Amino acid sequence: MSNARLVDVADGVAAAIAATWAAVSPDGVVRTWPFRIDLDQNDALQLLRGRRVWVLPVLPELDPLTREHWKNKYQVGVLLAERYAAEGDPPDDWIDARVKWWQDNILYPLCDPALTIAGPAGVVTAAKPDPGQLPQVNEFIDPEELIQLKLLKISATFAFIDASDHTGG
Amino acid sequence: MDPKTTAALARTRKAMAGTKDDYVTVPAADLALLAAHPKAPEEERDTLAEIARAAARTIHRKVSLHREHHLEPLLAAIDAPEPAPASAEVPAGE
Repeated sequence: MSNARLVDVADGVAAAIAATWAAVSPDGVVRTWPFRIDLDQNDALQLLRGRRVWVLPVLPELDPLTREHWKNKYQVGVLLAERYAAEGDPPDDWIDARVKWWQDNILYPLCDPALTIAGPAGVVTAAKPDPGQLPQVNEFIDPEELIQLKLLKISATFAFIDASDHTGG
Repeated sequence: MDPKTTAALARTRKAMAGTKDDYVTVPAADLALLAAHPKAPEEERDTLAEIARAAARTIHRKVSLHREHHLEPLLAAIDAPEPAPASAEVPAGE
């Protein structure tokens, strides 16, 4: 079954993260839809185990490249969530370690100009981070969630473009 | 142990000491060397080698490995003393 290009790119982003993160259950990376995730319920503590990364198709976009050609752009969201499972409030070094991990495994790799998100088998066009649009961090550790739910959440949106610019480039 | 594996081991130990996170990032090449070590746990060797191969195809050629699940058992097995060679038995009566 062929997917929309936006979904293909999101699948590729999830595969790129999985290639550099040997996650051990219940940790892991999953591509899903934003409306499938609900961490705001009161039972979020029961629902969430381990370090979870969700890759979310967000928005397909077109940007004019020339008068005749368009740049296909795909917005992909990445949400990291982890609950502090020990007693008491999450200590600073626990938070520091997660932020460093997110920076080294999500933020920097997914905006590296050298990154190529390969298309699925049969789809020749690969995707690359959009050099004209830096990642946008949408949520960075809500203090209320961290204290009340012991839940650390960071989300960001990354823009990818087709590696070919459709003008023969 | 050959010098490359010794260096990979030292880098891995340094990376483990450098973070309190459950996951430690190491170069894929170092993981490949350690996974190929003769004392690496046999049941984990193929899994670790496959992880190293996948990470080697990424742009940074690094992989984030779980400290307790992957790295500590691997290093403990490599550090384990060699089993003592079986002493030559002298046939009875000689």
